[in-house]
Amino acid sequence: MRLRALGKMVRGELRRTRGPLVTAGFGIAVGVASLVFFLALGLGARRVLLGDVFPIDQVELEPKKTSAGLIALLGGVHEPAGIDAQSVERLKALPGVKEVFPKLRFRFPSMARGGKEILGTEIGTHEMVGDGIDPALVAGTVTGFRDPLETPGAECQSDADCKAPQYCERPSASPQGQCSDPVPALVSRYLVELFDHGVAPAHGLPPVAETLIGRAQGVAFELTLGNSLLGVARHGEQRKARVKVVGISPKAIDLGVTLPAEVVRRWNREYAGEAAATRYSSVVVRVGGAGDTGHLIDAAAGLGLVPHDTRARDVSVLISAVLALLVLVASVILAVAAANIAHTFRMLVAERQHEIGLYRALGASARDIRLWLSSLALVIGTLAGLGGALVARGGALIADWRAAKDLPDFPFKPESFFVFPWWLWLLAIGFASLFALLGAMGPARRAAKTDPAQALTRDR
Amino acid sequence: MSVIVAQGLTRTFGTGEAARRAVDDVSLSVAAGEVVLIFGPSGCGKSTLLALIGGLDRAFSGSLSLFGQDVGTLSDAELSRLRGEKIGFVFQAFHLLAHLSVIENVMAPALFSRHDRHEGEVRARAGEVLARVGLADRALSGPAELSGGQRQRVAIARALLHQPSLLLCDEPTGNLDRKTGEQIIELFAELHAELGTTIVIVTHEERLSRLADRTLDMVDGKLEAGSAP
Repeated sequence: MRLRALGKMVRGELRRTRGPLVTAGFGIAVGVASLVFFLALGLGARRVLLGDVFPIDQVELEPKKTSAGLIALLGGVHEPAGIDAQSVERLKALPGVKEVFPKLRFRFPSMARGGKEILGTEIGTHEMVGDGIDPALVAGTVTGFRDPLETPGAECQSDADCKAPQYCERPSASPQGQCSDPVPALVSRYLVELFDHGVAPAHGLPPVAETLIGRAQGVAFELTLGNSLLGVARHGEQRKARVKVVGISPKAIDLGVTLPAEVVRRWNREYAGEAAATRYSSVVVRVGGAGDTGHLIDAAAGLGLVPHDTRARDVSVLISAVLALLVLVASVILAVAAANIAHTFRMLVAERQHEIGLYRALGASARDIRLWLSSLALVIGTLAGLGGALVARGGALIADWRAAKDLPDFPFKPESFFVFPWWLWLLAIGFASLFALLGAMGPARRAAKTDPAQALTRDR
Repeated sequence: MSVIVAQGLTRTFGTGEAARRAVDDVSLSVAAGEVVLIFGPSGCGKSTLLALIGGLDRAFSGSLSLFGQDVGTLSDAELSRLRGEKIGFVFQAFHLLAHLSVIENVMAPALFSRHDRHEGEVRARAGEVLARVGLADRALSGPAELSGGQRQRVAIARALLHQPSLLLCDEPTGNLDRKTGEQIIELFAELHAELGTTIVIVTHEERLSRLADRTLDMVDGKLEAGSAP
């Protein structure tokens, strides 16, 4: 049968039997709407939880922890193991690994104070945590994130010798320092969210939304090096450095500040010795997908490295399990809809025995009859799938609108709880067509087997 | 050249003790351009024979050849193509599609044609055959608006759309009154004279015999030579 004739027959049948076919298609549309809604919700939850809160495609690996207390008991000094450059290279070579960025954590006590420009009052922390990363990792996403001593200023002995906003970067016991721009810092969105929804309300401070941070780029604070509430550094002298927030980055430490690696290397050397300057405290490895995470963790164990945090994996498993359950529910709806399609087509075939017999007499082959009914089912499935997907999209928009209106603000509250990638639309149409086709397959096969001689001689 | 050649053609319904031979060891040869009438009472197996020689029923034993092709060896697609291109059917019950207009009914065989003919071309051809059977003015009517005789004319026009070499008619006047039946008989006579189409008619109406080059009688599934027309 030619395509044009097939199209004509399918169009004619849709017009002629629209009532029962719409009813049959409705079931498919409901199933697809549920499937798409749940999948989009699951993807939305994944995006927020595994994209922003617990990124699943990246794992932070650190040396296996030893008991500091036991080492101290044995008379040694606790020195974190660290990760050498060779291990970093071996991690880069693992299959599925897309990016490896080593981190140098602060190995010295520090405190911070600042924020008046944005908050109207100075705030501070008596225990500042931070790390350093290679500026190349954020190149293109953040500007101005580089070691300020790459272009050092004039020699100095104190901040008074430098022109604001520069300060005198003079290492401990060194008679001379060099004027330096404030050290650029990155903060994480996690920190911003935590501040906005946890710290700020508790202290009556204004929230620091992402846009506000963007506007306040350049806000400086003072970092006290070598001293904190919990104690002083074993080496070096307490001194102050100026730090400036230059952006928010997913590569920044969750709670603390991230500085250019060279800066942290210098400060670690100054306050904790050479080993703290040369061996990385952890490496963040970005993999191609969640499936690669397991292989990475296994391979890392061979290098004596363990994941810093396994919550991402736990959340991923939880989301996958809930999603699987919801998809199962939607699949049951689709299966029921397919049964409904099967029933409608069985009735249609039974009613059209004479007609099918006549078509056979007029030259239709069994394949033509099968093709006609299968195409009809495909068209119904496609239309129902598209309709179902649109209903799901509409439902998602309503849900987002209600959430924005009625749900209180909470950390990581997204603008939309749903994600509708292009492939979800194709999946919706594909699933709907598949189930419609499955439903129609049996009746179509039976119609193709219609004995034309009997069908045409049967009493009408 | 023979259009139909059947040897020992047998069609059995049921199995075991309930088995019944509707067509019993029939041998038949129909030459091109011949008009053959097969007479017989209801239930004698003549419609079954027509379905066999029209390729609508393949559950037979014996051999059957249509246009020189062995029906037993043809695939479903090949046999369907043969039916669509070379055979026209006219049924007692007309079998018009109620949801289509008269002209759309006539055009229906084109849906399954392997030849890519433009719809306008098919419509023009359908208009021609409708005019030939005297229904040009009813092209856009629905079948329900027509009389029995008119419906049978539409069915004949449909059968003629592809200019078939063989026309198989199953009780074509069976559902018509005497006068209308006569008109249909006249139409068959004219068409045969004009087109030279091979026609096989199964009927129980003796009056159709004047059309025939040859008549055959069917009794309990067996074919016997009939009286000359």
